[in-house]
Amino acid sequence: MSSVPAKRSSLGRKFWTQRYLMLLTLPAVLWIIVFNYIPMYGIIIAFQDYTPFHGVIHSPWIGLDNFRELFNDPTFRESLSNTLVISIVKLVFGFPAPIFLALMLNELMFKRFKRIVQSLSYLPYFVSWVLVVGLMYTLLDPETGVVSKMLVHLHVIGSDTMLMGSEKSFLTLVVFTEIWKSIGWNSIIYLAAIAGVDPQLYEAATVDGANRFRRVWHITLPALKPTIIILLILSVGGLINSNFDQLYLMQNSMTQDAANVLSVYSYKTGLVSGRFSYATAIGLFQSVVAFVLMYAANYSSRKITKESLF
Amino acid sequence: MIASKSWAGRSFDWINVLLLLCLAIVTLYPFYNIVITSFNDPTDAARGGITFWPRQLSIENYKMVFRDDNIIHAFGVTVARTLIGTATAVLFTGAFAYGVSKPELLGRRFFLMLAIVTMYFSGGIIPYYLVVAKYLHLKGHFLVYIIPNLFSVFNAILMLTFFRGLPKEMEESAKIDGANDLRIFFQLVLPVSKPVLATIALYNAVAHWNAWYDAMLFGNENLQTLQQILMQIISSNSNVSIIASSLGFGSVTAQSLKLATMVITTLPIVFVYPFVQKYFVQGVMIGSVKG
Amino acid sequence: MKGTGLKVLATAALSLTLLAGCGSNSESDKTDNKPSDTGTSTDTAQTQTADGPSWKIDTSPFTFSQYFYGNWASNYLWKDQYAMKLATEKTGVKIDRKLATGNDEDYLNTMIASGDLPDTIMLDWNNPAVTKLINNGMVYSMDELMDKYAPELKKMLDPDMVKYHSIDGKLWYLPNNYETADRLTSGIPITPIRPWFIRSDIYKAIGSPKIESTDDLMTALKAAKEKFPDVNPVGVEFFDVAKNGFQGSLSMDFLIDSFSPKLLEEQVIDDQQILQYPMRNKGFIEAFRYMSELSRNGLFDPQLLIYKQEQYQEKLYGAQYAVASNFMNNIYADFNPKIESTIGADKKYEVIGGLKANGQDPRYPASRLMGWQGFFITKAAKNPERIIRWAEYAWSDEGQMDFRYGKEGETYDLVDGIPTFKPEVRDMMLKDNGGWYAKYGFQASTLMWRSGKLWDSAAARDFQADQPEQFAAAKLLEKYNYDKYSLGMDNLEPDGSSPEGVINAKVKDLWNKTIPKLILSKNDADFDSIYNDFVTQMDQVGAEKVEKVMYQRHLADLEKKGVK
Repeated sequence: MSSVPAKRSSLGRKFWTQRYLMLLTLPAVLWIIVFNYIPMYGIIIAFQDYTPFHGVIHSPWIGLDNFRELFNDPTFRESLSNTLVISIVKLVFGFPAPIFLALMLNELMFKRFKRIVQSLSYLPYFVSWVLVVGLMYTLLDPETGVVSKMLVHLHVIGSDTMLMGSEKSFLTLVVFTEIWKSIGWNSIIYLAAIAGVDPQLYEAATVDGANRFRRVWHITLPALKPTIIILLILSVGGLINSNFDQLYLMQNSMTQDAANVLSVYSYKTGLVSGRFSYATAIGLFQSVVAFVLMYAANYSSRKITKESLF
Repeated sequence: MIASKSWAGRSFDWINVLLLLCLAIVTLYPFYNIVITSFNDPTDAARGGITFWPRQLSIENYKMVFRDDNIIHAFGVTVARTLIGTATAVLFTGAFAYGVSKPELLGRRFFLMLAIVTMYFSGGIIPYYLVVAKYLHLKGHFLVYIIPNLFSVFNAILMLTFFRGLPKEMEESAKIDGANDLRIFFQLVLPVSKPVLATIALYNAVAHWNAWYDAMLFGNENLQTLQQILMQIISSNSNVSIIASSLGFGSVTAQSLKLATMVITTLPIVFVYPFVQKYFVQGVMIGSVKG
Repeated sequence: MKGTGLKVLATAALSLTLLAGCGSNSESDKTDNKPSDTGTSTDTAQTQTADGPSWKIDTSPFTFSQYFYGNWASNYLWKDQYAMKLATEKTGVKIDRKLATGNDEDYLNTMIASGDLPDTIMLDWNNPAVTKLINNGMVYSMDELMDKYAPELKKMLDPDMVKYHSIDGKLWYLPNNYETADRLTSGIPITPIRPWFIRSDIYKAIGSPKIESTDDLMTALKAAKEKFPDVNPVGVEFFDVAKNGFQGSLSMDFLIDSFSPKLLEEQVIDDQQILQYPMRNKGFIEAFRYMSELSRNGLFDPQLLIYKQEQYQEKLYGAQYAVASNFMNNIYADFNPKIESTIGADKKYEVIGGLKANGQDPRYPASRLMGWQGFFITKAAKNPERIIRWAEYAWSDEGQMDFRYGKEGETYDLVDGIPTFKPEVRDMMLKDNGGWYAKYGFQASTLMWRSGKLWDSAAARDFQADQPEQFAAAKLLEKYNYDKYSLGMDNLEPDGSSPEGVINAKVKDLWNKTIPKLILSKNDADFDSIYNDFVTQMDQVGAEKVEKVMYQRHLADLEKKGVK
């Protein structure tokens, strides 16, 4: 009987000792509730036959009908597998790329050169996908494109191959342009983490006779490890999502099937055809899967590496 | 870096330099090409074949973009939101990240979960609009650029990861000296976290600089942003050319205008990077902790 | 997540143009063209009654807000242009006109969903959002306001227009650019298709042969390819069934209307109560077979199958095609002038007349505009009384003349009873159109274009004088036009969210994939088997259900137009 108030008061005391910490944390918590959780009632239209005329409140409820239709919809299944294939390949090649770049930059001896390369490598991040895709059309034109000609010369492709209109080259192009566009930008966070490494560690290692690869392996990489793991966990959660802009713009009548990923499909059903509920159901499916993936990644990471997001 | 004298080490250096040089060219060239094409006569550019320098120098595209007298005002609004928005967001998000980086914080996992869930679930644009415009009455107020952008889960997580890696001893000794958490955060933690703060500031600044959708939904004439105006110019794809003609910019095409707007919006923010870079000089953090 | 969501919607929407249904070419052409000259003559007499116009009752300063659906329309913003000042001087009214940044659809839907509307809206009358505005009770009915405040306006309206545009017995908006039946026979000739053009220098070089049939065209293209191996023989606009309709590329109409001159009539099968998809029509498919023949002869660059609008446009600015297709006004008002100023006048494009196929003349389904945008007064309007009275002004002859020509003696004179701009105004219009817009703002103030003999004949005269080449080209093609109005072929496709709409979307997807396969087929047998596969698949997803719905919609369209 007496333990309950005691517990409460100890909780209260604990809170009081943390009052400044709470002062730092709680405003953001409030913000999250206002800007993210209050609008979340919008999700319920996935369980309705929503029409803008009736609004969220008066639209008829249909339970899980949308989801039932979803799992029987061949286009949905196709877009799901496209999404996963593209994401996994992107993850395998795209995730390590900025880490390598950061490491390579860090190993550069010429400081000025390092700075220049670093600045240049993040330029593509600012070029919009519309322009990137336009550029691809120019460079990959079978008749006039520089890159196309080069590839023909190297016998990688035939002289009449339309790279932009081929389902075979689609995945390669998607992954390559994605890496090209984001490698520099994504390496920034790793460079920031490397900046945190104590130079004395390197000096000590050199004195001990460690060569460059050993130094990278034993000093730089461990310093990057938390960042790598956290970003990896988040990327695993992102496997179900794909870059809408890129795929939507790269889609044409000949790559239509290959580029049909979930986000494109949901856009087409929602905004183009006006099936808001169905599109929301697709979105909700993506959210749940993403969350589960992220949770699983976090769990395994905690077990294996002891590092985790939460 | 200590230069290694061995043959293997030296050849590694050169291969490294060579690879990065390739990367630099591959990333720079398309950008460079966009810049020179935007300075070429637009219709002439449509013939293709501009590789290293403009064939017919022309600033027609830029004249068309800058004909809008609101653009200077919009530039000011954009700079203001970028500066204020970045500073406030870094602090606000950083404070949260620091709080949840402390294992002893009550409800730490709950708060973190609360934040992470929002990365995956959202109610869509219309309920969000109602919250901002109808309940908070932020529509048409400059703060609509600041408050809804105060927090980002992703940035919070990056900072959290960084804060977790800070040596415990530093804060413990400060605590013994009687400093409270507020003082520790502002006077000890923030100064040693420059690399990550610089990174997050860059992320925020770029996002603010490029934002236009919120300006369209919630802004008004006085709150127009640079990107918004430029989006307006290029958004009417098929009509751009005819509008350009009707405005007296006979040779401007939809494509050329896109290039010019990209150059205008990108260049200022691209030049921010060198300032951020100086915080990436090795050893900033640990050095200052120990010193 | 939210951030990405916004970006996704916004960016994607940028490249998304309105879904153009199969029968709505003239509408989309019009939108491209910014309806500035709609020469039509009506005999509806517009006279003021003795009571005097209602808008004169109160001319104190008054401002109302307006959202204009069309983010490109920066010319229409009210600053202190001449026409705007003139309207304000007379009525006391100013318009605070707003445009969306980025995608209009997003902007509009957010406004509607949140109930945050301006006083008035100018919105395409056939936009799906119109139903939402009406059903949600967000707009006043015009009848209600006119009866109360502006009875004169009601008398001015064309009864046919009122019938066509009424929904549930009420008129909810005033449509601008509603054209009467005379539109097809008088005034500026209509060009309901995207014609094909040939580059002048190439045409001369191959000996200016007659191109009167599809076979002639093939021969000419072969000759062009021989003489100019570096130039692409044929250029057509981008292919996208979802955006352009079943013809895939808007340029295909030119061929389809040759190979299948009675397509629209043949689609209706009354005894089965279905309206067939055009893909079931033999002539329609023959047009694609012709494309395939072009491709087999090396006369068609397969890249065109995957190009977006930008890529094709860029190449056309560079005059890189021997034969190219585009919207008529774009060629004469945009591409040709640009080509002339950079590449040379000899590389301009000239129109190819209508093409016979299998000995038959083509037929182009022309239609007058049933209206472009509707003027809506929302329930959020603070003073609907002033607004409807202002609309009476805008609709009146006086308002029309103010809007189009300004003040007599100051900006225009009547020459032979037809308004003519003063030389300095006209000069500026032709030489410095941008400056002219900024200074005078004609055709940009009220935006309530309506037919009227006076200005329509002036527009026809000016068009002929200012754009002789385009006028001649349009005249050349005009003889193949027929009025499709009474066929009841407008707004046929089912609503996208209905079960038939879902099937229709699938059919479109299938057809979109099939087009490149057909065009790139190696021989006729190959072509046929691809086509037969498509028909089988289309039937499998339930195309017939859509065809039944389209038939019902066809009947409804006839009903609405009062045909039968």
